[in-house]
Amino acid sequence: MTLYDKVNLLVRYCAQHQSHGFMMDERNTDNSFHISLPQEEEIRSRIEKIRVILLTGEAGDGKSRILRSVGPLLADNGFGEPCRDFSALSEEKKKELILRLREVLDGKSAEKLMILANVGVFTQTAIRYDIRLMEELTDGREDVFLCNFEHRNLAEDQAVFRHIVSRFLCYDQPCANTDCICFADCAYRTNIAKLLTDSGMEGLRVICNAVYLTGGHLTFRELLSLLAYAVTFGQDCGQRVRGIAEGGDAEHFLYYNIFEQSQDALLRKVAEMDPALKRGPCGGEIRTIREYIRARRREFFEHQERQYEMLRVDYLPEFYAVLGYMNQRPYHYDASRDTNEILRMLKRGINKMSSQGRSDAGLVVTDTPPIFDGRIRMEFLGLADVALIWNRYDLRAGQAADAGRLWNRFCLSYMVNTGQQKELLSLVIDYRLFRYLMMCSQDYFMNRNASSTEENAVSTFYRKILQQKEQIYSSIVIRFEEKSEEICDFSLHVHEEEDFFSGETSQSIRIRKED
Amino acid sequence: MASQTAGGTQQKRNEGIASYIGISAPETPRYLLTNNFLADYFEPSKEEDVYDFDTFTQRGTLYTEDEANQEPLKASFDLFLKRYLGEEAIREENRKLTENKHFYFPLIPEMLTDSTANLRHVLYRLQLLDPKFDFDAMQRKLDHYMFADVSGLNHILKILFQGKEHKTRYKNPEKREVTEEYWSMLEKGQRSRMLRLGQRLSGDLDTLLTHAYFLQLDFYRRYHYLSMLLTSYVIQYIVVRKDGTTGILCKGNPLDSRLGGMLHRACCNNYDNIRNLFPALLQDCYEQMTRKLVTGEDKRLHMMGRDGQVTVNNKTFEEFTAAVTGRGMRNHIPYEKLMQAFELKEGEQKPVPVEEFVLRYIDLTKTRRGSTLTKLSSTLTTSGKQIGMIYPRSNVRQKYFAMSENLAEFYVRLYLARAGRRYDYLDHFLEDLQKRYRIVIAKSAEGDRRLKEIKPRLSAQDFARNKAAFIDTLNSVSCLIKLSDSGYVVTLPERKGDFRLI
Repeated sequence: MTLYDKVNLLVRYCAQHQSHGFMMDERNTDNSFHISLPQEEEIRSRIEKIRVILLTGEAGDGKSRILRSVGPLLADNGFGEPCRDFSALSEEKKKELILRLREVLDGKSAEKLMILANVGVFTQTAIRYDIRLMEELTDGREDVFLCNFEHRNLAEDQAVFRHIVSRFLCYDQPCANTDCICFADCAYRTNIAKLLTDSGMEGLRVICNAVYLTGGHLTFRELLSLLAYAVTFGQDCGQRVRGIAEGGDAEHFLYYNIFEQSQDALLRKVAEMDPALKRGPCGGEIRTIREYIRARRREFFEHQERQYEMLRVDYLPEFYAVLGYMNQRPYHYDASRDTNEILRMLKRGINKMSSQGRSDAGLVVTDTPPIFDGRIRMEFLGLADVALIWNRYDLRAGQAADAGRLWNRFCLSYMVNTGQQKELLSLVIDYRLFRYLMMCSQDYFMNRNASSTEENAVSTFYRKILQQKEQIYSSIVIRFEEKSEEICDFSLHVHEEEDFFSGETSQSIRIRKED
Repeated sequence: MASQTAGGTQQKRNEGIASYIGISAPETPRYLLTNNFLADYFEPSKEEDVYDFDTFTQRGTLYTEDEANQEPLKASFDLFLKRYLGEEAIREENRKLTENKHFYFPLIPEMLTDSTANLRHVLYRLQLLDPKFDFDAMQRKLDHYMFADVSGLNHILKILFQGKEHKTRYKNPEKREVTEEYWSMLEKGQRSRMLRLGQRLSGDLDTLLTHAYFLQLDFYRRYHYLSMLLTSYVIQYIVVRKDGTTGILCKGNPLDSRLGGMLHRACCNNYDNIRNLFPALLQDCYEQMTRKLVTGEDKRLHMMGRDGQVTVNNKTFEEFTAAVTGRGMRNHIPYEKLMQAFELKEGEQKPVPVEEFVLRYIDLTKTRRGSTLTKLSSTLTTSGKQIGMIYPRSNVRQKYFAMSENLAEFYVRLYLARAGRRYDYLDHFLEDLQKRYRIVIAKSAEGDRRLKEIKPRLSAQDFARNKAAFIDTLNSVSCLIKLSDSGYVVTLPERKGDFRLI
């Protein structure tokens, strides 16, 4: 394939291109490009044990493509005709399929099922007809293969991502059109060459990873669209040549301008991360704003070690660093003693948010009934040294369920150990909560007019801890937000005494001033 | 030992419009409404107890060894009690309460204090309307729900109160004929609607009083939820009394900028429409009362103005209207104003049809401060504001229904408890809100039927925006799990982590 052919093929993948609506068909007939993704490999390797395959995700996530690819294998292993679109079934058929699924899970049917569904529609039907089904499906059964592509991060695995990029952008022959006015300085050629280098591919991976880390999701189709746009900017050779001939600047179509403002939803997300919108160093002599923009964007694609830092996303390097930290064995850290500076900041943020201005890093569990504001609040002496841990999102019984995976969230957990039962009560910290708490630690959010989503999440977590401690209310501290000479914080402590002679016990409350 | 019957002793013989509607004014804050409801089941306190540092130290349940700091400790403890025993919250929201009486959250039965029953025990009587209603069982459940808890801060408070606590004093149910008399203003259709509403209230109360989603909470949260439920049923009463179909068009979020334009206007129109129940009932009631006063074949009234005195059927205007309204002759209306309002000429007798007389009279008195109509109408607004269902909170005229975060969380909790589920699909929850409480947030056939009189008509897009705002409201109180762009599951905040996604 020549560069010219490649460009004309790539441009059809661009969401900005007029023929984008036909992209599905283009991809279906594009035999030059096929990637086997890890999910597909897993199905192949486990096919003998699997009896149920449930694939969910957005349009463009690659469900149908996997089905096409593994279809013959499924047929050979006793799977019936797959359900290609659960949403399209009538209510009666949906119910019937859910009941069939139940029979398979209970071992009452030898049938093997493959279902492609919208996760919302599938969950709704499952809840309606078989409330326990969801729990059983997500219970980690060996004979069930579940994949929700909406939680997949295509940029997570460096090797897989590079494989996709190199396979998608590669061509084997140069452009034959040597008379073209752009031939000597062809932006397409420059872009592909750069994006196939280590730093180029890593730059794209960091962008995609940032979308995932901040709670977004990039479908397979969107990834290809993004790659195609980074090369073509939605223009084929003819359009480009006409533009240049009319005096257009070819520099606008170089790969690093992927951060330029756009109407497309995905590209808008990318534009918001533009390194040029963030103040920072850049090499060379800078005289104009345009030069600064160009230099910052180019630098992003050059310096692999600073790429997360350069993107304009609040606290992204810190969040990424913490996730990396959580991804190391033993996957959990004592929240009181751990010295990770970012986690200490996070603790300060939690305290400042829930304890209204406390600045030390020791976590203090509070509980103020929702009908009161926080002007007078309760703290618990018995929980001053509460055993909390920071841990990986999927940590169960000391093991990570999917050790190779980098989640976009982690937890602050309280360990419940009742002898019979070991359980983690967790506060899930995703990017949104992380950012909020980090900002609290730097005194950005101290609004007391109403509880925010984040405050609700933390107070619910605290309440769950308190429910585990029966005697916790035997010793409480009452703190006042406004201090004065007449008013002081005090503690109330349940005092029990036994009559030495009669053996009768009595209780009273001791009050004392607290600092 | 059961003693006197609830509500029965406070019956007034002539209640005029208030007895025709069933209520006379709101009971605020919502905690007083709850206390009054509880006082229908249990004997309220007769003593005038004060709870402070000195009371408890004298009783020996509180002590300090820190004598040097006794003064600040005393002041701080009293401040703490004022808040955590509820006196501050109750007084802050009702400045008309007498200074001589103390109102608390009923942490122990002895703290239960009732206040003026402006709502005339309407909730209690809604329950009693159902002949199958099990009063004793409800009483036992309420007792357990309110007074058996020793969790949370109650653990300490119960020790402070020890020796003060007595067994809850149960009341007997109100006599059947008193209930029947109270509801005698209803026609057959209205009565069956009220019967169903009463059954719903008893059902919801039963769920609230017995389900772990509420029982496992501390006293303050339980009391808060009970108050929310009871106050929400005051609004339900007004809506159901209005007619058999009208629904509550409720904004998904009180202040979301997406919900302006048509939706906002329709919401205000819906609120007005429901609030108009009061003038309509007032007119009906006055017409009925006036007709009773007209004797003879001529069904018209005869009015005359002469020498500074307006008469109606040979009675002074004040005497006649006092007989119509069932209230004393309190408000004197100037002679000139009456002459002008009824278009009378000095010395001339004018026959006036009953309908016309009532319309002109209402028109003349409706805007007066403290009028029956003003008090009645404020029941809707005040109750709605108390639970975060009516906005804005200021006194502007154009108001609307909206779902605050706390109210949304309450309805989710109640729904899941009733359904016996840990989670459910959002659309099922929305469907339940519509069917059970007539609260319309998203587009549906049922909603269209309930809102057919609302102007302007709303498009599917308006409803979609409203639903999106409601989703944000639920999300901000951690009651929502997003499955996909179109799929959401509602759950309790404390159970959110239990739901495993595919």
